[in-house]
Amino acid sequence: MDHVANYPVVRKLGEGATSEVFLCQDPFRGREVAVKRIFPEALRDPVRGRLFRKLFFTEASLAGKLEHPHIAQIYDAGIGEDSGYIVMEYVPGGTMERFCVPEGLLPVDEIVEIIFKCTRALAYAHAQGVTHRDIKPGNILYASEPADVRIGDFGLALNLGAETTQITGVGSPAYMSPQQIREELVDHRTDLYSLGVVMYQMLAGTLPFKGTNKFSMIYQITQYDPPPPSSHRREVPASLDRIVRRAMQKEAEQRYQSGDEFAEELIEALRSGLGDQRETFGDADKFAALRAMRFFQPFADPELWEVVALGKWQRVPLGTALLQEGEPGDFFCVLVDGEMRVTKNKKLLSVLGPGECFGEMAYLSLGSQQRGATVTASRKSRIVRIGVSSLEQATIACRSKFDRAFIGILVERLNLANSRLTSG
Amino acid sequence: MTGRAPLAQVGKYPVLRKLGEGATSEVYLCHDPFNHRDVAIKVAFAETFRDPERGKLYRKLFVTEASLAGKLQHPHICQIYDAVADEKLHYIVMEYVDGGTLEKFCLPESLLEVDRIVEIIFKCTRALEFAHRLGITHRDIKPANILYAGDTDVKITDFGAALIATGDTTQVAAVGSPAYMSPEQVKERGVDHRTDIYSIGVVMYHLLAGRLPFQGANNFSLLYQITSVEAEPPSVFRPEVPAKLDAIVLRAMAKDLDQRYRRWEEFSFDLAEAFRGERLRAQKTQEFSDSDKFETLRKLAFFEHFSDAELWEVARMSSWRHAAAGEALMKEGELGEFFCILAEGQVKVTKRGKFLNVLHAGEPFGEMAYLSKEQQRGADVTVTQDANIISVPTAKLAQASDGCRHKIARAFMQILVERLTMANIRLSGV
Repeated sequence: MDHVANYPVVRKLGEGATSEVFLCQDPFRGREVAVKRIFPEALRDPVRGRLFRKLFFTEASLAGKLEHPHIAQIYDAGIGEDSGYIVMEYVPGGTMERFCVPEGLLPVDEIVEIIFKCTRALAYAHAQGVTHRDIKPGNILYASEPADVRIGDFGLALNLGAETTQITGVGSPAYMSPQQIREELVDHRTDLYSLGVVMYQMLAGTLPFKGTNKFSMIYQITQYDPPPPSSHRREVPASLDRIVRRAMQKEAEQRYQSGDEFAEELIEALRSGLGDQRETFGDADKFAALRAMRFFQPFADPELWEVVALGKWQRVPLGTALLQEGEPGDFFCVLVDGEMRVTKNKKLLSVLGPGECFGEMAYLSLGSQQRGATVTASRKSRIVRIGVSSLEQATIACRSKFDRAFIGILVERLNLANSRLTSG
Repeated sequence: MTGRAPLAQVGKYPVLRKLGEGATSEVYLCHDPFNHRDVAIKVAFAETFRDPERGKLYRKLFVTEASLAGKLQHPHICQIYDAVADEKLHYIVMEYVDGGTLEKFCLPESLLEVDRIVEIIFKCTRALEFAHRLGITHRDIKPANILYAGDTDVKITDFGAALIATGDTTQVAAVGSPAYMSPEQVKERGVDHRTDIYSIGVVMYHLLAGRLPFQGANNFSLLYQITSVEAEPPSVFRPEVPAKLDAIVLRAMAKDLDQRYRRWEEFSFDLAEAFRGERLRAQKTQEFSDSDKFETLRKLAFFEHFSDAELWEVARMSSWRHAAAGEALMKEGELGEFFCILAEGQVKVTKRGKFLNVLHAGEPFGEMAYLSKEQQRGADVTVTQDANIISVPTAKLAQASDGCRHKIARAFMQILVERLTMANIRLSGV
């Protein structure tokens, strides 16, 4: 095969029950893309084939609207009498499958990072009315390192009856929720169940339910509670056992009701310590810290992930002077926790608390600017440092949110100055 | 080229109907089911693509050229969405504009008002300057390549048309009419953006006069005239055309490159000036024309960092009016649903009769409606010298492109920083 639709094939990436995936060139846009080709046999199926064709574009364009750093973007889709294809972002790393076997397990905190990103991405998709319905390690891709995740294959119709094929033959029902297995109506909470199973497998290196055949597995999924992941891997803390159990509740009402709720508990677990915690800040931790700040409240998730990527995080010991009056500066900072004192000519101007910004004149005034004051840590603090030039690389949507936030701050300060002027 | 069966499907796009055909191409109205929009698809039938030796090279050039032209995102350029060239089919997927082309306004019985023609040509010159800055020369400017989108809105199409038609620029002369070709094109000399300036001059001539500047009994006589005969000014055929416009057209069409406009900006500038000229003003169909708005915005400090596309957006979303001295523009306590920028004149800001500030051209007022969540006006604004007022409704701004909104936010940020600096200076002086 040298072309799929208009896209010249570079090489084949993989094959599933009803489709195969190729790495292709997009000569018009000058980029590599992954193109999924649906097998003609699947389209010729008299019942499902017709239904599929009908749903195809609705699902593809709905899923195509999902623009999120942790969702593989759908660029285009097309379908004919006996050919169909979906053009997607190419994610070069691989899938989570390789981290699901005992010899490939990731450190616990890294798994939490990955699942956290998935929960936020699912929450984003769910908010737009899109349920995935086929969350499994093979559909969670990564670009360069494991934590750089992208959920792929959004859109049920695009998965061509993933559910039924799994039950009746080809695939495995291992990640399906009890509702899916019973062929009941499902909502977004089915994705949270499946993600719970993925988390279980990544922690434990084994599936929660293993049958000698498909039917025994189906029976267990609907009837049994699995042993906690820690029974397979002792270092898994009780907090994560609890989270997995909650996500995998058989009744949807007993489960996490949203991806956000799932994410919150992951962050709590992460912060209460996971034993082998490393010194660096994890992305999930950064994200959650920013998400909690008033300054970043108007930022949508994709924009906030951008800030996570472009900011430099620093621990600041007591007494460190971060900005020096009169020195040039090309960055601004947001105080995550701790306290800063702003002084000018050794006179105290103000004390800053968590969520407050400093050094922002570097961004606000277009020309180069000397620092107007000195900022010193008056407690052990954590800050995010954002370079003005790195912000210029951000998307317009992200920059617009900074604009609005800074305008709010400026208006506040101006009002304060004006009221001091009139009262004086 | 006749006898081709009409297509029912172009690639993945189902055909709705055929829009037209040329010597080596057909244009179809199609539906893009993934993006939920109608698109125009130009299918090329050039033999060169099938050439066993050079076909592959031409196909590659075709996509490269289209991909380059696809980078042109401008309100007055027809957007290219995709291009495909394989062994069977070669086509370009474009924005669909429902309004025909400028050809229909080239006949003596269907001419447009003079001021509307100036507007249209002004927009073309800005769009072509934009393309030129990205290194793209059109080379085939003619009324059939300027789509009409209603009122004075146009979209230039078929960038890279030469390659698309034949894979070889020199063959164009043999296929189409040379009526809009520049002398240097006729002579097959190297061409640059000034060939487009010439061709737009001919289009403007045609729109004004209802006839081409040169009419030959055959192509040879036409070519001779293009290279050797001076055209009569358009006013000979339409007396209401003012001398200023005669001069602009003839300068754009100058055979000698040294006599022709060298830069697009000069051309646009003259058009905007002509529009403001007294003779044209009498025939104006609206108080502020689009070119007027555009040129005014471009000169205001507030809009210094805006791109052309963003300026056009502002021109479109704002409403403009003249206000006489003494008129009250805003009153304290009123609901603020828009902010203003003073384009010309002077206004004063007062609060309960107390004078606060005087504002000059380029300064915004009523901006708290945009900057904060305050709903009510905090002061009165009154005109002190006859003024032109640009109003931007905040609801419309919310619909603007991210880029445009970002620029507006940056402009206000600058103003706020200045005001804060001033306030701090005054505070430290107290």
